[in-house]
Amino acid sequence: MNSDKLTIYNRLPVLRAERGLSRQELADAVGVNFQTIGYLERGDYNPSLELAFKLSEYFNLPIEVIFSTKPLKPLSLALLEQKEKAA
Amino acid sequence: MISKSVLKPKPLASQKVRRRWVFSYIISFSIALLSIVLVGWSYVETAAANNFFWMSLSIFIVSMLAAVVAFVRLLSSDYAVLARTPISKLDERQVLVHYRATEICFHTLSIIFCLIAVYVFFIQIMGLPLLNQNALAQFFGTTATFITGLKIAMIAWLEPDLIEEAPAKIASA
Repeated sequence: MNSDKLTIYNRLPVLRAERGLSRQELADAVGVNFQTIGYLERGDYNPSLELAFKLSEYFNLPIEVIFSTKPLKPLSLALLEQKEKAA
Repeated sequence: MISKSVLKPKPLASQKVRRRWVFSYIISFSIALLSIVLVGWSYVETAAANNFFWMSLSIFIVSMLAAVVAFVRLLSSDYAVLARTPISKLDERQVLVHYRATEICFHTLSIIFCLIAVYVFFIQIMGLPLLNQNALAQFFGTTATFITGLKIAMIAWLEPDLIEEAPAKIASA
């Protein structure tokens, strides 16, 4: 099997929770089955470029904010770091 | 007797349960294939129905019924939504499951037909064309029935567990 498969981390659960969306609502918005959103959130499935762009457009965020090949920091921590950098 | 509880769909059945049904479908069909070959064999060998013929025929009927129950159970359950839905209405992850199932079916059929080729080669060498070709004819008919259900069985085998709760949505997907 493909043991060296690239892991793609994402912030979908946080983004969805922030906006108070259900999996079904997000799934309808990007045109996939609600189970697929679950698989994406758990990292069991890596999205196609098309789906990644759809999600990016839907949340109005750059793709690299939503998806990353490295573990993502919590949004609150990332914001704090940005604030400290700006100061 | 086919119990109603056997055919009653159980929504959100686990992958383990699904695989058990797929396994029983394949095993039942394998027994059916073997027994139908024996039916053809025994009938031609004696040119009349004998005990062996009736026994093989009974095993064939029972195992085919078992395969049908397993198949209906697979197809009628909520987790078979992928198998029942046209590929154009599925999303990219679901299409991948279809592709994998198709790939497995292709390899399985390749193996089956390879075995048939070896069998035909063998009977030609042995010089027993009529006796064994009759058995082979029975085999082909039953295999054709098996092929139609193979992809559905493979999809049910491959589709991961439905984790999110929305049975109504799953049923209408």
